[in-house]
Amino acid sequence: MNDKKLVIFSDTFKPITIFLMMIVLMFILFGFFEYDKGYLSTRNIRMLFTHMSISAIAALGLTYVVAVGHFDMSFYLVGCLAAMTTSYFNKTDLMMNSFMLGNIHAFVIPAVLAGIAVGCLWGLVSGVAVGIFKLDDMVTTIGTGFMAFGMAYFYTKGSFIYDNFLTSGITEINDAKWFAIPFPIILMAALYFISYLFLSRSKHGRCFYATGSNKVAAIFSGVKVKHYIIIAFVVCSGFTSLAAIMTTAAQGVGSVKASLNFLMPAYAAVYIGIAVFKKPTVIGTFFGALFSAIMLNGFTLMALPFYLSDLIIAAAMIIAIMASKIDWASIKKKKSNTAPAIHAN
Amino acid sequence: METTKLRMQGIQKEFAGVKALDGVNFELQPGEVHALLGINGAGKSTLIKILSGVYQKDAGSIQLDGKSIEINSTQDAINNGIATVYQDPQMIPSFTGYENIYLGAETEKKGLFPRINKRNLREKAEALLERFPVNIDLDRTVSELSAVEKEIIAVLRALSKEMTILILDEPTSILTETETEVLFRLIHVLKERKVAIIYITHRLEEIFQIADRLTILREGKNVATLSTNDDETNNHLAVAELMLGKKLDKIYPEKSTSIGDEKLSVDNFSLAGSFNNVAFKVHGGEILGIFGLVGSGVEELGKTLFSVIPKTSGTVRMNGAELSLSSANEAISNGIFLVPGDRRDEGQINDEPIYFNVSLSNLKRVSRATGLIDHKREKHCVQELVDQVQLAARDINQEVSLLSGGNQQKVVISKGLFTESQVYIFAEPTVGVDVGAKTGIYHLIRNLAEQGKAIIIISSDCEEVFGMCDQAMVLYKGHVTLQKSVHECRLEEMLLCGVTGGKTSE
Amino acid sequence: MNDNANEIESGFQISNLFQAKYGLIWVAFIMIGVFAIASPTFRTPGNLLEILRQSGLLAIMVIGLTWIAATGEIDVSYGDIAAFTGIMTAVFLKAGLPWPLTFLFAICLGSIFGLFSGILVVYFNFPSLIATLAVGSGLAKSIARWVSGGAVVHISNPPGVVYQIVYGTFYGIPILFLITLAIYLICRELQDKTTTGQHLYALGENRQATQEAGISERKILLSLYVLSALLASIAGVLLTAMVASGNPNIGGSYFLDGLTVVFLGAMIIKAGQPNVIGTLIGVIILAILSNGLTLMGEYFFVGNIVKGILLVFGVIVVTLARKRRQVDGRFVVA
Repeated sequence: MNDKKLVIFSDTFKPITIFLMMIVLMFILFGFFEYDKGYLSTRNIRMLFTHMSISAIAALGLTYVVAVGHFDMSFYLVGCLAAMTTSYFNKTDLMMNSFMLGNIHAFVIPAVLAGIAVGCLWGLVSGVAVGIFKLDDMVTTIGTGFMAFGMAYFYTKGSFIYDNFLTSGITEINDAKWFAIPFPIILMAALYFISYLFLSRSKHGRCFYATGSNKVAAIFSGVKVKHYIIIAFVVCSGFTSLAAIMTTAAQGVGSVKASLNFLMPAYAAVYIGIAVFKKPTVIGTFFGALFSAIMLNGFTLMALPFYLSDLIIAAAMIIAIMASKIDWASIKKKKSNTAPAIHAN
Repeated sequence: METTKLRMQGIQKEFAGVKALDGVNFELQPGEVHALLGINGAGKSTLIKILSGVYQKDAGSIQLDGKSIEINSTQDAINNGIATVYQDPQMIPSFTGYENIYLGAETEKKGLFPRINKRNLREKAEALLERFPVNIDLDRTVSELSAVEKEIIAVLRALSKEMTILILDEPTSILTETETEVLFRLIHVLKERKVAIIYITHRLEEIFQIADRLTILREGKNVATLSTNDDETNNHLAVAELMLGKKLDKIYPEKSTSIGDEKLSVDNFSLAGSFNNVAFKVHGGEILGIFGLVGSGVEELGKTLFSVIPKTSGTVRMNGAELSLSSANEAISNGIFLVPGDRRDEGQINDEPIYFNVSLSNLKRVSRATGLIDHKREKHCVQELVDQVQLAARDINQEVSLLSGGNQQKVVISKGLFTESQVYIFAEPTVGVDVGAKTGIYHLIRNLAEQGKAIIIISSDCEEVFGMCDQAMVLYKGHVTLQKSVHECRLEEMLLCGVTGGKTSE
Repeated sequence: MNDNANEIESGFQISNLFQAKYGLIWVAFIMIGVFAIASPTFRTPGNLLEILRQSGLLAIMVIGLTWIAATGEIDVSYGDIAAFTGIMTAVFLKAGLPWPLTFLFAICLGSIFGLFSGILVVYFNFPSLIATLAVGSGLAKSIARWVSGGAVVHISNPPGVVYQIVYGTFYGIPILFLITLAIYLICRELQDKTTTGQHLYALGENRQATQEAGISERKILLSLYVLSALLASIAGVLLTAMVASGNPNIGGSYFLDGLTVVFLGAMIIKAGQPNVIGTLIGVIILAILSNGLTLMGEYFFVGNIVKGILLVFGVIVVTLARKRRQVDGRFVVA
């Protein structure tokens, strides 16, 4: 029995150890070079996690879709629609001068929910197209995504929405703190915890992974494959919508481009996670997002321009996947042999 | 006397410690059709895969025209003039016949963009076709062609290369009788052109129509090589007996003694294009065996009972109550489970551990009210099942892809046991399973029956059905050709009903 | 059976033009008619020729994507690679390099990205989406922004010959469109008359059969990714010559258009498969649509929605065609 426990231990904790080593290494590197800029200060660390929370939540949604063996190219565009929907309802004040909840107007809540609901609806469309009608996932979601992006412009013909942002209390989504912890971090932690339970610990999680690994075998085992594909796309769009609304709150303005830069970081987080954990997992995505965030934060302090962030993230992702495809064991064995040690198939 | 075209001697091949071929000899004369016979697992396909370069032999020698040759790759086989047409030839559906014939061999020119002269190719293909008494429109795309036309395209593709040995692997399994005639005419012409043909089939009557000689393999060894002109040989029963071996070993458990209530009853069950009007009843404690060759509809019958393929018509009653099932999920929750025949594609989630696979079919059983999985209970339940089926694995965390065929099958069976179903359907339960593990699986199945479950075994292995089952049913081209108690029928009778539809040659 | 053979042998017939596979051509004519009635500006010859000229760049950019999509893979990097070479062209010219050398260097640099995505897909087994996403919007776009400092790089108008290529006309027809047409005719030859063209469709339909026939999947995919980047680079250089500036962010605006035209084009000529002539017609239809919508005063985002719908529609047609080809009398689960 002890043997068995050991195996489980190494299966889950070896990749985590790899990640922790990578992250500690990053902290040491940046901490060493940028100590004087306050790298290791509480303020910077809190900022790091706050920044991370938004892209991490989007990446978490994408993890569901990758777990069922598909791609989603619409989530970052759907987020824009959700953000504009929320901004629009935040502006129009559906409840007509309603009561306050703390320092938040009550109408903010339906506004946020409306944004997320629109996002989920779009996810449902993509999910049905892919899961039931079996259309090609990548191209279909690019189509549905750009439809959503086009719809995002309808509210204001593309111009910003500033109205009510300072008064309605919507910015509290970003600014609120509980016990000195910013609300976005709490939200991220909560969603990751729930998703961890759902994907890695619950019976439904098993079905997601079974669908992703072998759809036919999953059907033969009684898994409702179509349902899980649809749920994955809905969750992905829903989480990204939330992340886009968080961005809107942080920026204090409703923009049609709210979540346009989510694409690269989300895929990088999921695939760095896969490179280390061998499959799309919640923990892997978390570490992937954390790893990207640490690098971005460090490089930002080094005053690298913002537009290089995608370069750093993409390079990290490419290196991580390439490293995971190299068969280290066979390199060790055939040191003298010049044969390529890459898994070709 | 002409020189021997091909001589294979003492061929040996082992897979994971199981001897698939144990010193097999095989000879082929120019212009001869030589049938290769044997039940599933006898080693036929291993032998031709060695000849066509898919597998490499462990020991033995291959001589071509008296010269010793080595075949290490499929390309080596082609270079030596050995061409193979597999059971399900792979084609490009939207390409025309002649484009498929010359796929990959369009031109001799090198470079990134060598030109194809399609008119030239078409003429070459026409010239090739003219030599044979078949008529195909080479301009039609393969997706528009019938099964026999596809088969002929595949044969022409093999002939387009300079070849002298042609291997046909169950070419008629999906052909109708008239289509088979067309193929046979082509084979006769090839014979006249001194092409040596190795013909693999399960259908005995074909052999006496087309083959000159036949070689029978059993358990990886030669049993006999006979001439079909010989009067003594020209007897289906004799050949069937040789294929099976006279004695039925002790690998099968005792038959059932106590039969319970009726569990499953199926009436008027049909799937358009596959099987018609199937009806049967299975009782608790009883094993129903359904025997049929590839293409007879047995494979689809199992899947339709399990509702992964929607039925065309018919009723299914469970304990007397009619069921209307629309998915495997509903079938499982109504107490029916199918252990599928194609393990790799349908049975197992390859890159996941054993416990994942086993509990997948009934996750409710190991989850708490919250939907979270109770890992302790899961490990306990799975371990219990794994011990019960005597799975040889390091532990239940091992990935399924790392197990042997027999153990993989045991994982899939455990998955079925985990559902605690009332009716179990086993499709090809011992394909790719070595003899030792077979016995284990047979006893498992019989144990299940003794616990009062109703069992259906669907198999293209006649002996398995005969040895295991209490009731037998035989399907031939979608129709039931035999249905009675196993105690009342002979193995040879079953085999004949399955391979010829019940017409005897005598 | 014989009817079918006769039809093939008798060659071209007027009635063939009314077959479903040419339906999109009629859609184009109807669209031209509707816009011509609705907008006086649209029907001016100048505007119609401008449509042809503008469609040239996108058309050159997506030839590679057309073939990659035909093999069943995908490429989402073409727009960003074009933007990258556009920036490099502007930077080289500013540094005083002559046009021919600039052209050569920029295209070589751009093609390296294609080689890189090809290697990632073929040798490291990356999903093609992830590889081209990382190489395109990750590397190419970021490097372009880095080189340009994130801003648009302006250059002076190109000299006579280059100017003629992008703005000149020949008997009233834009030279750029004639060049595009020439490239397309060459590519059509490559697609329909060479082994690589033949094999890439074989690959898209049945990988197992292609491998059994001894065709090298790696060689085809690698060369297609390089070719895609090469043609995108040519388009990028021409783009910079046309607007006299390089813009690192321009790639995104070609992203949706490229995929839409390829999958629209898949509806014609080769039923359900991306092909170059289909793509060219798709490009022209999309250009008419964008131009018409703009002239009718619709906002550009309406165009996004329409293109998104067209793209999904194209995918539906391709999926149906694929299903029809593969129905083989066998029952398919899932």
